[in-house]
Amino acid sequence: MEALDLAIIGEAFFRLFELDSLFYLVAGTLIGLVFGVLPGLGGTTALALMIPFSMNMDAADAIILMAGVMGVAPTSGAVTAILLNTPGTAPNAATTLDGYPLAQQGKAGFAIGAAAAASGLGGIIGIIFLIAMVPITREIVLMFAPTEFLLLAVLGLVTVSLSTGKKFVKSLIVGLFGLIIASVGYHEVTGEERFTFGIDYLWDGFKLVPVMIGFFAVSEMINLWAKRGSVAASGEIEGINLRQVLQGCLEPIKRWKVLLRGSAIGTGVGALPGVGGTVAAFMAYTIAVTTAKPSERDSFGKGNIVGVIAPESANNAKEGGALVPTLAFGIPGSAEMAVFLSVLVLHGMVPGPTIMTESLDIIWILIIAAAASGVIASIITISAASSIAKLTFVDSRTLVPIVLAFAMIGSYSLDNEIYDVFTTLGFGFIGFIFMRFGFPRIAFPLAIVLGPLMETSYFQTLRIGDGTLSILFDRPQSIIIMLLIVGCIAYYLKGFLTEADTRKTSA
Amino acid sequence: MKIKVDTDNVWLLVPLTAFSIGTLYVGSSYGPVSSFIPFWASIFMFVTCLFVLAGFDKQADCDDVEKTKADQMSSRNVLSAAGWISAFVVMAYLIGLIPAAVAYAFLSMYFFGGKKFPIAAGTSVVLGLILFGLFEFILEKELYKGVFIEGYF
Repeated sequence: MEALDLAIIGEAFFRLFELDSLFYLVAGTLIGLVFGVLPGLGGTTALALMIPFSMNMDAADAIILMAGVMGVAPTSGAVTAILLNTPGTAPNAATTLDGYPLAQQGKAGFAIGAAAAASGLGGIIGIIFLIAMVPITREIVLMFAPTEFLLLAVLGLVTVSLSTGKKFVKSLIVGLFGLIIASVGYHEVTGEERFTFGIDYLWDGFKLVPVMIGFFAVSEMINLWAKRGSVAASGEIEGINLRQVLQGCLEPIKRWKVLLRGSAIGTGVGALPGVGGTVAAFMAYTIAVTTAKPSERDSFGKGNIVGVIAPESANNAKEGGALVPTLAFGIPGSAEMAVFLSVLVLHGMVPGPTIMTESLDIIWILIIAAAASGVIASIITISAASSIAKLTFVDSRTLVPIVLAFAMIGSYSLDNEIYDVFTTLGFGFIGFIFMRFGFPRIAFPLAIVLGPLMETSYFQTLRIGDGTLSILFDRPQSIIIMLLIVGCIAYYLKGFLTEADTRKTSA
Repeated sequence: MKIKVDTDNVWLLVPLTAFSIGTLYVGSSYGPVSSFIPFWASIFMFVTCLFVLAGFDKQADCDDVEKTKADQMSSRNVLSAAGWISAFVVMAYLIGLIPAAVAYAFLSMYFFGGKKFPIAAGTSVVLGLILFGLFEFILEKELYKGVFIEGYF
């Protein structure tokens, strides 16, 4: 099979072990580690901040840097979850349930060792799934025409919004806002100028990088500044016993069934667009509890190591699963994947048939780099857990100016355009306002990235259908996707009406 | 179903509704292909904003009550954050990116972070040197030097 061409895989493997590639991988891993540890920042902010730097690299190096960042963030977040009861990223919240009680019992090293090994192994299992899926998704995606891509973009926005649960409508509003923002500037096909109001800067529309950096990184900094104090709640960090750590590392292997089940849940949930690691981690934890022997069930929540292994393996395995819809259909599984998608687009790789046929080498580099990053992350976590946890004590007044300086200068450096700094600030405020009002922001980057694809696909669909959209009803692929869109909306409406009825009855 | 205005989100939803109406008005003057996204996105946005504004989506907030309470920050803090970050951008426009970053880091750490003068000054200078080295030397990017040198207006 062409997708599993050993020559391409071998080339990707050797590329990763070139000196500069290794440097980018380690740099990405270290950056992701720091951001993963700091609650509220996480991989999305790190990725957004890295975009300007990646633009100076070739596509392969940029992907390696990004893979480094993405691979490590979920692993490092477990350290603070165990030591400080403060999850570094949202999915690590499930790890606090048993990880923190273990630390209180003086078994922090044991829990960290198990978490790091489960993360590393879970990540590798997720990547194996991705490897298996590449040839299959490639065949599926080649069956799609512009009509399907237009509908897939709509499906992406709907499913991503649906994943926010009861906030479906609010998420949809944010997504629609993103689509309007994406339509500013010259239309790619007609050349018509839209919403520029005579401002030259807007001719090419809002640039992706300042918008992403503002929306994710600057908004988080405003939030952090307004909260004041240290990034995480302060606490005591006890010394980590290396022997305990090594014993913990062996635990996921001893409990391989838990590891495999957690990884399978993570991979499956990750492959569903919009359903993030938090769902995967808690689902894996819940299933671990319900499938445990009745005599063991009471120990969950009080320091059962299975309660650390299951969510951590799921959390890391989801990355491999989430890459499948991102690469094949351009539908990211999370905000992090949406930012990663924008990096691919900025480097001229359009997800879908193009990337699956013309950039297979890049896909393999990404796969190998992500697997390597997970392993490096586990090693660093095991060897420097207590130092990593201390990062959370940094005062927000020290962190904010540093991150802001990188964010603003990064935005500027892309095109040497000072107005990009204003754009970054503006979208920082917009992102913060959405955050403050509890509007999920996940649909925004997706809309920004998919907007141009939707416009082009719409134009091509009109051309194919002689000026009408009747072709949408001619192809079975289109009909299936339309049914999925209707199904998603119906699912939300069903929940909405049921809840309305319940409230009416109880009132 | 009773209509009860969602007062919690009204300050966001009213501008968003106005934004959707404005987009629809301006966007409808474009050609059929160019207006495809602005037209449909603004119509759906208008409808969804009204849906939330009318309180039909109120259930979405129920789960967040505890979180919002825990996460609450005073408006004064938010305004202070917005003011300081805007001041940084204005400063960057006037005196250049790196001097603004150094000055902002120092002021933030010394006056608000309670750091001692040598630590605040030292950290800000190191930050400036890292930024200069990284962008000007390694990435070979010539950074913005301020309105008085660059002559932007």
